[in-house]
Amino acid sequence: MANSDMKARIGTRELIAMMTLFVSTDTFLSFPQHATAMALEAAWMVPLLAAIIALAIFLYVDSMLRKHFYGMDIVEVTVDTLGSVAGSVLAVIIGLYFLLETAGVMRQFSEHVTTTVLPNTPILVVGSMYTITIGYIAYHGLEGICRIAHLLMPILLVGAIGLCLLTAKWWHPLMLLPIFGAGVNHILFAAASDAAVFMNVLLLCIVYPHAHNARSLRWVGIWSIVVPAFLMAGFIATYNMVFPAIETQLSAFPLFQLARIIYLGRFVQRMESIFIFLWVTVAIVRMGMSLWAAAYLFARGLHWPTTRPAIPALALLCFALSLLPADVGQAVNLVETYLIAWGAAVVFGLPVLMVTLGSLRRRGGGKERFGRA
Amino acid sequence: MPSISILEFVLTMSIPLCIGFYTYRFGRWVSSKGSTIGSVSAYVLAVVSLSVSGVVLWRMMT
Amino acid sequence: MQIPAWIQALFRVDDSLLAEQFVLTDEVVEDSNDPSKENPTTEPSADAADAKAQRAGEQDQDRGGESEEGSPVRRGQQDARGPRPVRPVAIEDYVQQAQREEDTTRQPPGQDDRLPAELAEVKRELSALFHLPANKDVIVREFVVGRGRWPALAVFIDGMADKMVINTHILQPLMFLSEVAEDDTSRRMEPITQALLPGNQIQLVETWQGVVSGVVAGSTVVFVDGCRQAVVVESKGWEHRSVNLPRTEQVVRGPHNAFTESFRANTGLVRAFLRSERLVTEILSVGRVGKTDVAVMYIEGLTNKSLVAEVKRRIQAIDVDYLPDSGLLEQFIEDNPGSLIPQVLATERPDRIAHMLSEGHVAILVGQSPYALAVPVVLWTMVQSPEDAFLRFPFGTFGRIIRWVALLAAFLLPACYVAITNYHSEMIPTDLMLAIAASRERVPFAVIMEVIMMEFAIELIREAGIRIPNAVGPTIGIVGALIIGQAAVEAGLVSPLLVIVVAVTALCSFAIPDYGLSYAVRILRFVFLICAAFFGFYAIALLMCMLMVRLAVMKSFGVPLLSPITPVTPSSRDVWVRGQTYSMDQRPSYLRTQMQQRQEPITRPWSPYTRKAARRNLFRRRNK
Repeated sequence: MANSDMKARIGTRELIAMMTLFVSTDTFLSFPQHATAMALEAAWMVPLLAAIIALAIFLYVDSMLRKHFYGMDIVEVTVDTLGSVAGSVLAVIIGLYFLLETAGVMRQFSEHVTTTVLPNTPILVVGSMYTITIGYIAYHGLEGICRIAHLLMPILLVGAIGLCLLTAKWWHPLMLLPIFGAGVNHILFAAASDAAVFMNVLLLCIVYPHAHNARSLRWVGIWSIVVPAFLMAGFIATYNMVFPAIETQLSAFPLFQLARIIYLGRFVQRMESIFIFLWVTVAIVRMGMSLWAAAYLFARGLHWPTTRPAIPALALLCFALSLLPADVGQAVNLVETYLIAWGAAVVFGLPVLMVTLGSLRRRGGGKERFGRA
Repeated sequence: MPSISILEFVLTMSIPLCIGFYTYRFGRWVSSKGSTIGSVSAYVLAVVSLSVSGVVLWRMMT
Repeated sequence: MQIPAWIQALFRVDDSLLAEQFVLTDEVVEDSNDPSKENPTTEPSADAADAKAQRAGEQDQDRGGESEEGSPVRRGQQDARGPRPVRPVAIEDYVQQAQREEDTTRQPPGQDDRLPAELAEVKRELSALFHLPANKDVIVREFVVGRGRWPALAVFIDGMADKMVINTHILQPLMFLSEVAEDDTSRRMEPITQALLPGNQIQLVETWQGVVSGVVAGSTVVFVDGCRQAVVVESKGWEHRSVNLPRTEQVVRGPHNAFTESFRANTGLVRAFLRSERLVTEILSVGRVGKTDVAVMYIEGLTNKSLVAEVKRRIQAIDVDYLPDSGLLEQFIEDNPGSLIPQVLATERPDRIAHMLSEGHVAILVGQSPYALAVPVVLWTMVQSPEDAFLRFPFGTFGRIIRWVALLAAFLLPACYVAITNYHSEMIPTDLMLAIAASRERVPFAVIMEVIMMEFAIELIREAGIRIPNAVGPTIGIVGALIIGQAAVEAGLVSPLLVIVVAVTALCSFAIPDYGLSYAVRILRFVFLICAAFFGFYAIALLMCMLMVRLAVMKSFGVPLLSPITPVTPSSRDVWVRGQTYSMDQRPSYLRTQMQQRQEPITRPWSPYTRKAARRNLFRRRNK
């Protein structure tokens, strides 16, 4: 079991579930707010367009990997192309990105908990509980994370769709007009800068060798981009039908606000507590996964024999980093500026760069090696 | 009551210290496996996580 | 100052981190036929690792100087990891080997020696072996055979051997009915075994080892003067409870017999249900001071061979003085002994064992234990009752759903009550909230105190109920529960709503069919309760995640505990709901049996309805 995280084998469905959960988490974070701020009423188009961008990049990377580097992940490709030092550097860079990303998500979710569920509990306690849980989960490796993602998938789907439908009473479809919101170029810009929420492209490039069936990975990628895109679009559309777009820009935790207004008669109302299970568990999977990815990449890049002993220190580092910004506004700002807007460079840029370089090299000089393989 | 909050800080820091020590043992183990980069990076990780959490806890608790 | 061992263990980082768990695979099926391979499961991975290392080496060479600075580190790391099959098997085997060698030298003198020819010598050594004048259980009966007047003696243990068999089938024919001619003294055994002893199982032994194991197992051993051999005549006949109703796994419809405290009766019961010449019972023995028979049952040609080998490997590794029961064997062989959730199914129903054998599990019967074990097991099996299969599928399904709800409620109901009343009171309808507030008005404790008090009372009733004498048991139980509940409410110690919550929880935990699982649920309930009291739903959600990830990576004999739900493996519908019996044509594939197909896809060829359903199933499977 212990060493299994280095060579775990994951089934297609578990991978789809994990990736879907991973990306969908952004629905509960600042993404709707951010998208609405940029595209106003047309915010629901942003995830769809971003998904198209992500899908195109994913298909390119996947076809390159499939053609030239079958069964290899992005680090192996880099090692193969630019040598092992470059591979280590790449692994550490991506690992750091995942680490910071975990910290950002943790801060936001900890703030969600302190503002909605446990207003009297210090964020230190809430955050440390998150840290312990995600450390525990990451410690159990990729297999464990993907399997709980598979178990939680129905909760996410039923919960998210249920949430959207239960608020039907308050829908004002006219609030989605004008159809192009802030304008087409604003939408496109928002989509391009927010495309980094589809981090699963990068993640897929990393877990590539762990799939049971490398052939099915294309479908894993497509499903895990399309399903969250529609979930996000549906959610944002619902939200903007209930609350005007101007107000959405100010809401830090749209899911909670939406859940709060559910009112189906005397007995079905004030459901926000039920949805705690939804967003807390999804957040756990998300953070557990990115923490594991960070640990795995560090282990690959820094030649550790196994990821496990580093997990406590990495979890602690995430926790400490998440509390480093003075307040949540600053944290969200940092995440939006650096991790989402510039994150695209890491999430899409690095894989595209590496597979392109690698395939050029293969086409140029590596003919005989390719033939032998 | 600064003395009490400093006591709290010291007590809380015991957890990062334990983790740091564990990571240091991890580094020793990695070096016994013959990987210098691995062991040095593990020591760096121990120091960084300890210092960042020290800074954060100090700011929040005192 | 000595640092305590557990603190040292907390900070220990060593090669045990790289150890791997046994995983059930197909690959070993062919290999395990070969007895020369001690541990076939490591072979493929070793080969693969070697191949990978070689490939990496080649790649490094290909790149030439360019990757010079990186490759030594990388190769060094690979070397440092040592031989890749890091399973600790080799060293364990090594230790066992050493142990075995040590055993042979440490045996009490005489055990391995050959039998002497003179009867007087035999008697002397017997006295030494069984501590004879003092040990009154061992009977040594001296007599002479026939008119030839060969001196002989019979040894048996009073109470374990059947007196009738000894009198009428051993002593009587040898003493009265025999007519033997004086021949070569060393060949006296031949006429005795061939013509004079009408026992159905006899065995000629030449060492004390054979004599002792025969005598302590209830057989009678006959020595004849002048022979260097002894005859072990099967005469087992100790008292045991007859085959009776199951005590913990009753069903309404289905067989009503249960295992009993007789090893052979138990194996016979299984065989009576599953009459197959391919059903193999291998008997191992465990224990140094006293031997306990352990039967490993499986179906040849069906059960995964590496599974059988692993079961035997784990049982053979047990080195104890005495193994009294299957409950102890379970702890010796399970994968995660520290986990609350059982990873071995203990059942007292031979029909259940027969069914599981036919699915591809391995059954283990231990000595005189009335509980048999089945491995591997998945979590879902522990929530199933044998009755699910005996009833028609909608009823089985309904029962299962009830049990799942019960399991969830037994886990979470008190925790949710505490969380809702403490943290999430807005989610309950206002009237109910007022009712709760009103009922809690007189209560002078925090909710968590109330709940823990009542839960403790219930656990007390449950624990005491096991030991209360049968005649007064039900009365005390009802009176205890009613009086405690009623009086506690009247005295204002707890709120009436809480009594309902606790009572429903207790009922739910009784609905869990597996005894081990219900214990686990009872303990986890308190953990959830305490966390919910501090952090409400938030803590419950976090704990659920931790529990789920723990379950998701746990394995029972190489099979993930949550399969076939996750990891998804093809299997007939038999997890949440019970499928139709006629459509369950596949064995669970996580067992990696040698025959995946259990029955023909179309088992009711005359019925158009099932033909259509079967075709649909086949189509779906092919598309997967």
